[in-house]
Amino acid sequence: MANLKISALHKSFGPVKVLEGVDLDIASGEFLVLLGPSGCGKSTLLRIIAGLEDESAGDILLDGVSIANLPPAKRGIAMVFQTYALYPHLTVRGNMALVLKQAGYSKAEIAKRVAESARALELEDLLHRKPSELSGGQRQRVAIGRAIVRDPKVFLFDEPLSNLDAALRGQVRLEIARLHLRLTATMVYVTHDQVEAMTLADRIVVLNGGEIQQIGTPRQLYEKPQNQFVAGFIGSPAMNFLPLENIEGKTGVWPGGARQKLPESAPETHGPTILGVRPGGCDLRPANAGKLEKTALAGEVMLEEYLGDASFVHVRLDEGANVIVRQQTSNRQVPGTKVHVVLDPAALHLFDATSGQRLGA
Amino acid sequence: MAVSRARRNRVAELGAHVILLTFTVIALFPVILIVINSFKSKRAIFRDPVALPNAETFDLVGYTTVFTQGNFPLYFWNSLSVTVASLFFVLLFGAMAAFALSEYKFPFNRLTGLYLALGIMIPIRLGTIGILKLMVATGLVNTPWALILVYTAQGLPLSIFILSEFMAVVSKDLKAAGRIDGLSEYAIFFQLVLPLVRPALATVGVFTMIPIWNDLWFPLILAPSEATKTLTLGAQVFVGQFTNNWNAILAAMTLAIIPVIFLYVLFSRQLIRGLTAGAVK
Ligand SMILES: Nc1ncnc2c1ncn2[C@@H]1O[C@H](COP(=O)(O)OP(=O)(O)O)[C@@H](O)[C@H]1O
Ligand SMILES: [Mg+2]
Repeated sequence: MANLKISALHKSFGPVKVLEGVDLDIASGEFLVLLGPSGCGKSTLLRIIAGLEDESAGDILLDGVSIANLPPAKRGIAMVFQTYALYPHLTVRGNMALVLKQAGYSKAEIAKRVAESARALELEDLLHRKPSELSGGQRQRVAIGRAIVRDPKVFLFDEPLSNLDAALRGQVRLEIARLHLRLTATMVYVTHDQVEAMTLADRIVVLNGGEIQQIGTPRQLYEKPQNQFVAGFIGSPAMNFLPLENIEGKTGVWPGGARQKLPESAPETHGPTILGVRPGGCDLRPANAGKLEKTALAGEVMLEEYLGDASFVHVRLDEGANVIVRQQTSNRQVPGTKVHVVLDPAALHLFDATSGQRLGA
Repeated sequence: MAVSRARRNRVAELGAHVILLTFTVIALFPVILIVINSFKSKRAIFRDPVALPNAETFDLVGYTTVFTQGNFPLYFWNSLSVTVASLFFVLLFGAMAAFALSEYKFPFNRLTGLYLALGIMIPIRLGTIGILKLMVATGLVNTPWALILVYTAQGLPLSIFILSEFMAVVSKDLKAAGRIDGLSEYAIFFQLVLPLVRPALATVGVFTMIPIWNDLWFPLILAPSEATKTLTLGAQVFVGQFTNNWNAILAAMTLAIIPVIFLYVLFSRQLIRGLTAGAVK
């Protein structure tokens, strides 16, 4: 258990700036997820915390003490990799024991710790096997076992589920969640998968282009995204974005002149605005339902994705934009039908068209 | 449809085998000629070079000459020790340099790599006079070290070039895991990286071994003494200005093939084992 503080961290590879001033305060025992698209610098940040990569500027403090100049093995951290990175020449037991041997533990202590970790991860029957004789899920469990034997202060996970198939992914994800409950250790977990992030995290850090976009609980990120990037990245299918000409008297003006009622928190007036709405915040009306031209968006059904408990209807608006609308499955939509899309004012998010920052509360 | 495709495949397979077999025969023919003629009497060699030895023509005179005249077991040992030692240093230092070049970032990293690879294009024999002067000055002439040093230098460029390509694709995560677990850089190199590039080591080994084993030039110039003579140099006693002792030459050549085949088998087994071991993923 330890708190981890990262301050003003910069990293560049030659002329390429990968991290531009990252500040993070990770509480003791917290499960923090770094979420962002591929190539945004998540792994680089994790590798810097681990000491595998040198920072260009900034500091890393563990329990208030700088660890920035310590070698990886002396930092009290353990890391689990996407590619498992098991030692191919050692058995499962050997893989888990290696770090303890390097740290100079006694034979008895090593045997005891390996047995404990193996029991916790149900690896007891596999201890004599080589990594090449294990399935993907088993390999990742061994990699996790190798991380817990040393009882580290901080666990680092770099996309540990990305090489697993969907069924195993759920299983190992549960394993990690249980591990966190049991160990109450500080964990930093990197992923590009928002479902993993939402289900595991106490707090999520959304990264893009080497900068932190927003830090918050999964609920905060979903309900109050601070900018258009976060709004578009969290949630599946993604939020719909539609441009408003401007806001006048807390009412949105569509490019065609039609009006849109906005939430209470909307600003009195504003210039060009992006309106964001999740598929669940939209509804469909038949095109002939009368008087809708003034308040709704006319369009045509392109296709319907049936998911069992709901379906997502893709609508092409007459102005050209596409909108995804969540519908009850009983409400079947035939491609080619003319419809109107109505938006629930309470479900709307507003962003400044140029800066992408959230407007209103 | 499926049947015809299978048949077409079989035809293609047959064609491939015919081509490969033809190549094998062409490549092996001189070797086989050497081996069968080494067991024949001199007259039989010239009367019918392609005939197998029979009761009448069978003669071990070549082998008895080789083992009685000169000091062939010693020459043999000299060749073998020089080749194995050079091979060891080429693989060790080549792999170490390749690891450093592919793993660590330092100024002029790429330039250093290029400089080291330059030797592939420049034959080391161009520097013979300089090398000879150097060996004389250091007193290494007529010692096996003269040859081992030169052959190591000769083998390193290709070795570094090939191995650094392979080192670059060894899982970054594996090395990272080793560092986090407290392994030294040497342990990471010897225990994690080297076993994974074993196929490349075997390839480099084969490419390095043959020219060293066959070399006549440097043994003649740097180590011609009786005590340091290699097999190729030793066999030259049978090559006269006017007459050649063909029996002895063929017998010596046949004997010279054996260690090369042995080393080759050793390497190719490593090669296959390296290819089949599952490391990551
Ligand atoms: N060793 C390196 N040298 C140069 N560029 C690198 C290196 N490692 C990563 N990068 C670059 O840094 C960026 C971030 O990489 P990374 O942290 O791996 O992204 P992520 O894990 O978020 O997908 C990428 O654009 C990548 O090309
Ligand atoms: Mg990554």
